[in-house]
Amino acid sequence: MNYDIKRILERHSGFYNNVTVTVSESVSKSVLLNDKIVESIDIGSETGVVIRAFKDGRIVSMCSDGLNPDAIESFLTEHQNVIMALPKDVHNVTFKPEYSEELIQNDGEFESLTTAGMAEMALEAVETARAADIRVKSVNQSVITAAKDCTRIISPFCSDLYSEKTYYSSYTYVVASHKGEQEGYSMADSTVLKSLEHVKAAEEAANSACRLLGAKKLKTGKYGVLLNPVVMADFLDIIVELVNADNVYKKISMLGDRLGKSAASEVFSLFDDPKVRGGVGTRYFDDEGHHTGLTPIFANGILDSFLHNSYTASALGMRNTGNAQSGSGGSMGIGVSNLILKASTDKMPYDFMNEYVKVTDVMGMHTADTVSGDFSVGISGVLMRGREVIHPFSEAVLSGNLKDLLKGMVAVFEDYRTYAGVTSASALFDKMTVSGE
Amino acid sequence: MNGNFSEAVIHRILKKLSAHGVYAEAFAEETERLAAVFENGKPDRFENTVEQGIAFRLIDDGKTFFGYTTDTDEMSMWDTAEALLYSVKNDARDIAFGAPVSVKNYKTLSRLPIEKRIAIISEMDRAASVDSCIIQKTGKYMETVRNTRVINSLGDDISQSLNYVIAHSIVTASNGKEMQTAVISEGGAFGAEEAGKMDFASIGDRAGKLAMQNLRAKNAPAGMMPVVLGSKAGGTMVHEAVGHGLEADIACNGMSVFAGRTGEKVASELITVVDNGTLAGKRGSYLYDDEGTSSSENVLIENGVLKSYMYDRLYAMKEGKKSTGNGRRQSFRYRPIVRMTNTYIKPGVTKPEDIIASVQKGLYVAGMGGGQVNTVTGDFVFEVTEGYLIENGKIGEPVRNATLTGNGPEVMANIDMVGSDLGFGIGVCGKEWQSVPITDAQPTLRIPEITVGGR
Repeated sequence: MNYDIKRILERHSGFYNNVTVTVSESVSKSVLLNDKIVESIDIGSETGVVIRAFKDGRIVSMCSDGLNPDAIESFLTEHQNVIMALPKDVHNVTFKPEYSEELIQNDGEFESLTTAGMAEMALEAVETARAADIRVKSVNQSVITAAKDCTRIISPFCSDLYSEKTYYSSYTYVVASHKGEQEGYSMADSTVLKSLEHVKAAEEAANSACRLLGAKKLKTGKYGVLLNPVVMADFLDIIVELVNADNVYKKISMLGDRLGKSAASEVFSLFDDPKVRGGVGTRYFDDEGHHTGLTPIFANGILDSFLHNSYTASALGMRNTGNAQSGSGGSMGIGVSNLILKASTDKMPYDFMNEYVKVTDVMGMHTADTVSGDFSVGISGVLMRGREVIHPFSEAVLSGNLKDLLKGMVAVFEDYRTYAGVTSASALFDKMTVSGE
Repeated sequence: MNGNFSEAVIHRILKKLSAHGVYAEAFAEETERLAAVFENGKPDRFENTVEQGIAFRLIDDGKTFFGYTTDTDEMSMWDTAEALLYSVKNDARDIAFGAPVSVKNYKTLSRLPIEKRIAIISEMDRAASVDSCIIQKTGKYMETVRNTRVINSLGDDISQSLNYVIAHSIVTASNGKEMQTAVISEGGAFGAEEAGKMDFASIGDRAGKLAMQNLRAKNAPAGMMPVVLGSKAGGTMVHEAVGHGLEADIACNGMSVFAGRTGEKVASELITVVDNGTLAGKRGSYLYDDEGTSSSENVLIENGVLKSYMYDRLYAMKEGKKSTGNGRRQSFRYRPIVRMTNTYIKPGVTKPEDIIASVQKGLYVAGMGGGQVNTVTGDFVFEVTEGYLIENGKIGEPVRNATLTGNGPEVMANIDMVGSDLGFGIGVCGKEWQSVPITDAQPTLRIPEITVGGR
């Protein structure tokens, strides 16, 4: 099949400057328990292609399920006219993938892992969550998922690029009850089955729900804010948009003029490392087929680099960092591999601030505006004084601007937590506006 | 839709699956999305997406066994189906397959040529250039054709073709110190005739003007205050504050603040909430849901009293109810779950201007963005994309960056004025990692006191 595709691409290399086809194949399975009962078993098997064809500064693309060489042939033939309807853009560089070592990150456990075995793991998580606190009323969802993905980039101009990965994850959702009810959830993932911390995640889910029981409203005012590692990871996701070179090129990043300058507190260091051994986001080549490598993004508050694909690297005249990531319909965006937040201290939050709110859950993070930097999100957590919990709170709103947030960071702690390729930790911030009663 | 698979094979697979449970189903899909994008000052790209595959589902004793494949050859389909069974038996149950039903939501499929798509996104781009402070514009026009076919052990064989058209404009304005972005989207589940009536220039123009307005606006005040939600703001609040908590998979599993409260008063007597998948042209509408159940109008709350939850087949079976036609899935890759369609609060009798006039000092919400709810506690949050201060009963200066947070049942009980108007908003609803198109709507409403998150 791959040979057939290569021949098609070679046939079209007379018209197009280059064509790349990314072929993906994946198999997956998951088991969902509702308390101790198996509620569903899902399996999936899929193939797909992303076609990108270049012609004199123009690109056409398609993303399609299935692996049908005839469909590739049709697309390339039919789009010879379509591509010429687009204006030429010199930054649409006719990118030719470079040879890269194969990435094989397969623990060999996927095939032997049965759905019965996954149900046992999910049950283990349920029993852990239930045993964690007598106030746990129900464990409504305990999910174990396993997947194996293979990706191959085919081009007429070089050897195929290939990667193969296994991925395992767990999700536990808990409802706790005592003078009211609260929900809590937690996730874990790994590329190695034996390293999956589903039991620890289940305990976290139970603690997360119980911690908020008896929550009160906060008084509106300014508070020191401690974001726990999960919430900090959510904020890192939107901070990454500020260093996305596509936004910089479009002049819609507030950090567009800060390269090489201070853009955050000195305690903030963040980097993207695509070669973490066993990392969920590990990749030796990006979705365009470009080599990847370590990219320091912030170093002690200095903005070191934006994240690039081939288009933005050309448009801004900067080094391609190998962060190309396929988007909708075969378009090419930018994304991180393994994003890592570095701790700034081995001390504890109460060593820096006597009273602060510890945020353990956030709602509406997707409403944060990465262009203006303004955010106003629902939060819940606990009000802390020193080492002591004063009371849990909910129905509060944390408002601010990402620029101020970055500048107001007081410390990053060592309670690392990695999920979905983001290694995060608790971070303490100077006074921010919290709206309550 | 016939797909490129053998109908006889599907029938044999279903007969075999149905011997192992109370319900078996095949769901085939071919969806094509064609989008044109104007960005960086030029027609930037065409995005083409094709999703195609088949899924099998078996329900037995409340348990679901689900499998899908993108490869619809006979061997792949059998592999998928047989993997659903703990132990494959050779027996089969006879199914009397009924006559195939075929429906569509359009007269003429909207599938514009390249030149016309470029003209539309160029028109939106030009219209968005309302001021020299506009620094970035993205215009997108997308046509989707979703062809599905459900064949199940009840004998149903339903093919449905749905045409969706959507256009949106994202505009950023900057004064050199600050930037503000506005998004305006319009569209629906309809074909070429209705698509031809869309005013694309207006979409770009409104996005440009809103970005400029927010750039000049002050930050919204923070704290508790009266809020009037205008009808043109759409219905994000009813969707978040009420809708999700009335989905049977959430309510029947004790994960909703509305669980076990059928027949009880859960809102002000002024409030009637409806989910209606039959509204012609609305983005959340369809003729049959993704399980082959016809869509319907479902009264969820009537004059403040909780009447019904929304059900899919699975939860209807579990609870001894009838499916309300709310079983939806993002694609064949997903199990159907209970989802909203077009959800709204029915209009009351008060004139909208009287509601505004009744507030001395508060916030008027003219546009709502995304939101989220904790269904267990009922706490919700949503963003205000277009807001104004109300001063002495009149709409005053615009404000930005407001968020509303509250508790669903508390807010629903506190609403004390309901307008005679009704305005719809379109969106995409996310639940359990699945996204589906929806609309939500409400009349003008007064909430005497709610927390406004501002700066």
